[in-house]
Amino acid sequence: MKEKQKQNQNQNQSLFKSIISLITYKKTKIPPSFTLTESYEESGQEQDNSEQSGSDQGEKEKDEQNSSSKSRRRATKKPLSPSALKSSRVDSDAVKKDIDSNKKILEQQFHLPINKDLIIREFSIGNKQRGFIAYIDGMADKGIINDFILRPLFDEIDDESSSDQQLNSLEDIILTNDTKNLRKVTTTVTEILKGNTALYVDGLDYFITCETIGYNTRGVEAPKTEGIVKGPQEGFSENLRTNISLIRRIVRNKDLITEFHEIGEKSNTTCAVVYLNGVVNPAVVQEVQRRLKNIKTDFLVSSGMLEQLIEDNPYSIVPTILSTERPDRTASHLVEGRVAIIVDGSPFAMIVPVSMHALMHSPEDAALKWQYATSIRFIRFVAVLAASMLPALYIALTTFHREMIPTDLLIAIAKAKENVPFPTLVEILLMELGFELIREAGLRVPGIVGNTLGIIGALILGEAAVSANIVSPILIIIVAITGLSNFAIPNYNLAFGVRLTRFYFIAAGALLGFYGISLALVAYVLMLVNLKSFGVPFISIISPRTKGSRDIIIKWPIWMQEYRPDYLNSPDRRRQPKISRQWAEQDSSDT
Amino acid sequence: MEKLKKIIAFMTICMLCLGLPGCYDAIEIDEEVYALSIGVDKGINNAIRVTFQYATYMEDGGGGMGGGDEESGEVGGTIVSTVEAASLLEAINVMNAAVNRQVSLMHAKMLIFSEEFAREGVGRYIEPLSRFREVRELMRIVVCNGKAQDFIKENKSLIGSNPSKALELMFEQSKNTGYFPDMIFGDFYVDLLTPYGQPVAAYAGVNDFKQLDEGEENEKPPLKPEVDIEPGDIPRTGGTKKEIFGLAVFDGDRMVGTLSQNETRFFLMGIGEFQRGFFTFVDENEPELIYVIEAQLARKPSINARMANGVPIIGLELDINIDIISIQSRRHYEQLNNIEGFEKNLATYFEQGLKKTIDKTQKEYNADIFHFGKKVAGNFNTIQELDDYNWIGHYQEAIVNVSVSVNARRSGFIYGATPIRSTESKKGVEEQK
Repeated sequence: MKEKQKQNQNQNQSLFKSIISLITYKKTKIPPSFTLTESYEESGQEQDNSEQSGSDQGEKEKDEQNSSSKSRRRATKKPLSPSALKSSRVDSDAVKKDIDSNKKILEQQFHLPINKDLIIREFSIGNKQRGFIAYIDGMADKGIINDFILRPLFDEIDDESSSDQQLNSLEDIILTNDTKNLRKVTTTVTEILKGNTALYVDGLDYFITCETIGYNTRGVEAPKTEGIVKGPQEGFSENLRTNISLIRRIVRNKDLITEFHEIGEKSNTTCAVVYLNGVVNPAVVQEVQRRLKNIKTDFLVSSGMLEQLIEDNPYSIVPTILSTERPDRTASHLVEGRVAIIVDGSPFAMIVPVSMHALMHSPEDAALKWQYATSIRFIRFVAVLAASMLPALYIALTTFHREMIPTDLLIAIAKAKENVPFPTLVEILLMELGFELIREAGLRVPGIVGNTLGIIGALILGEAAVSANIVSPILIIIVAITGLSNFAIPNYNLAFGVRLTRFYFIAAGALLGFYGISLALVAYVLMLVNLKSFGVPFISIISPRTKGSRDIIIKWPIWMQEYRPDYLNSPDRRRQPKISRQWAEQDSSDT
Repeated sequence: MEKLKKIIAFMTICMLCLGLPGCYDAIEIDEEVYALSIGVDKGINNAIRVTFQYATYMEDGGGGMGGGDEESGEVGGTIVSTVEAASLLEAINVMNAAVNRQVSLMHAKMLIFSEEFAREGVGRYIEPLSRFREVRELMRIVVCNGKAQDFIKENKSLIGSNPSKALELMFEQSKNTGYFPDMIFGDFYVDLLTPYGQPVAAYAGVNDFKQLDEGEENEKPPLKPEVDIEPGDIPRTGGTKKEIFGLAVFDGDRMVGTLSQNETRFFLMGIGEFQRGFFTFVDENEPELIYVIEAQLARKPSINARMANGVPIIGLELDINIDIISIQSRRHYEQLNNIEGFEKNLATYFEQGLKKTIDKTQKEYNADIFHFGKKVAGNFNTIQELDDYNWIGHYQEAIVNVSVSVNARRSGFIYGATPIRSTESKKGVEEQK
């Protein structure tokens, strides 16, 4: 009996403990997230830099080790140093010394009899040494291959000189701008996949790759989603190199650094990390590198996919990464001390770290006088409020707080609603659904019809719904204003987030009125406060309170913007001297 | 994935929990009718008779000008219906049955008592209103010299089809004329309870349009610049029959008397709420002609009070700005050498008017509607002493000194008017010079 009692007691205790453990505070198991720490003075800059370069080296070494041991998984594009070569064991990945096996390896890699893309053209130099070139049809520029690889080689063959000399100067013979000696098959394969041509001559233990990339791409066109009136009209295209050159044309600075990372086991997509050395906080660059290097996925086609792989909080409803298709906007962020990540094949640059305010800026702000820019910025903030809360406020007002509506308006609403058979909530949901349908359908309907469908659809649907007494006319106004406000939000991702948030607030407003909306708002703000974008609190400036850069909500005159945003902790805080308009202090007669 | 599932489950539970307490007090706008005015009369078979006026939700029909159908009580876009009940709030419930929708007092703009009812005391019926959650403080308080029911029946808008706007603008006119006070329910209720003074309410009546005499035309109509008129007796015709003119003086919750529209203006000046209004005077130099000025308070009146041998002595200083609107005699009163005398005359007039009005409230009603008590209270050390003294009872003993200073600020578009010239006018011109 006693034992049983004890057991019971034990059971009770364990139950009690488990209940208690449900409500007591426990440290989360989530590993500590990256936080951008405060760098106090500009004197700390050099230290930071030296640390950065030191860690960079360490990183490199580690990288090389990795590549030698795990090179099957990931290809490095850097040629191996001689010391590394010595230390590395001979493995299956190494380039063989005879032409037949090398050719066979390439054929195997590219499944040659079946796959028709890889072209291998064999030749022999001076009837002694056999060789071949390999490239992918369509990716490589055949003119370059003919004129600058094959022709010099055959010219050399006519020359009848010793084979030793030839071997030494093979790179000198080929006339393409960039050649690499690769001792690994995997890296060679990657190069071929990019559109380069691999050259092999019997007896060598490496491939020579020549840059012959030449496929068709879209040219530079005006941006599709970020059109502006005043300012440059160039947008990114799908070609990574073109995109980087677009940025470089704006920021002509030797400290502008572009790093490449390969992501995607199957797709081998190149991602560029672009930053302005000395302006960006090295910790941010390191964090970006760390995240990019530690992505294991097989396929990457757009920056949107990479965004989901590297963002801090995948569950957050608002984006913490700014995507833009404008080189000028990217450049201005780079100069402020942010990092841009560009994915090959995607006309968008991702910019990190960003705060909420950066998402609310439009590229046009920079080109406008500060009074105009500030006023349209306020409109945008109103738009965010309206887009997320207007239907919720309407529903809360009309079902819970009728005393707050002016009597005239109240009677007008009641008159309009008299013949409508649905409660306000259903009306709102119906109209919102209709609006979302029109928007989604407008995207799919081809070409010119799409735009007209949007307008006509909204007009006819609204008009018909009112005359059929399905919704009240005031509600059409509410939904229309909400929809318009949503389009006024400059960031596409944020606009999406706000669209979803609207339904969250509608639910809160319909359940508990203003009280519910305030509760929902508190929860929402808590979520915002919790967010980080690459170590920077998402609503910094507000919380935590940091020094403004005079271009956050109010855009002050450009000569007042002396500092970069405080939350970026740039080693180079100052953008311009205290007095930018120095001519204003001069006597105009002095020349 | 597990974590996500947990989070989703938790959120769903939270949302469901929210659904339990929420939604139940949500009422759609059109499920209620909003009483715009409430009238209270003495009942015949039960304690009180309550009249409600509420807006209809017809699409612009029904309302408008018509005047409506007698039986259904339709009055210009609204419906007026009366019910007899034991209490005001019970009357609302009885009304629900008849209207088929919930009657809400959230947007009530006017509470009107019949004079008969007000003279017996309104305290009992005001109390539940101040306690009830729906009644808003901004509701106007009016006493009607006839039946409240009749007043509300005449409460229609002839200009627009919007009854609530018409009601609000009706009370706004207090600012333009000063003929009646714009008394709101919140203030009225506080005034009932305060030891400093007594409440007032706007005084209203229904005009039967029979005041305009249709008799022989007078050769020389008499000039009467200051006639006290009861509401309902304004000599006019056309427009709506309702009128608000003057104020009702209360002693506690019982109405004790009225002030005429002219006295109301002096009262409003005394409490500093007079906004603007035209005054007509007989020209001293030419008794057949008049001049008109528009008066405005330059600043809030300054009131001081002291006790001398147990008698409160109150000083009331007023600073009035005037604009000259018309001088029929075209004399140059606005010129520097004349202006002082002109201002002095006016100051004397305002002083006497104020004095008379204060006298009336002291002698006739003994009701401190000016709230001098606020300043008198400063002479007592403790609230207990003030309570013991009972200022409200001693108001009639107080000596009130009034001094008014008048400043003419603008002369209108004319300065130094030239006389009208005619063949006979030469003499007049010479006289002026």
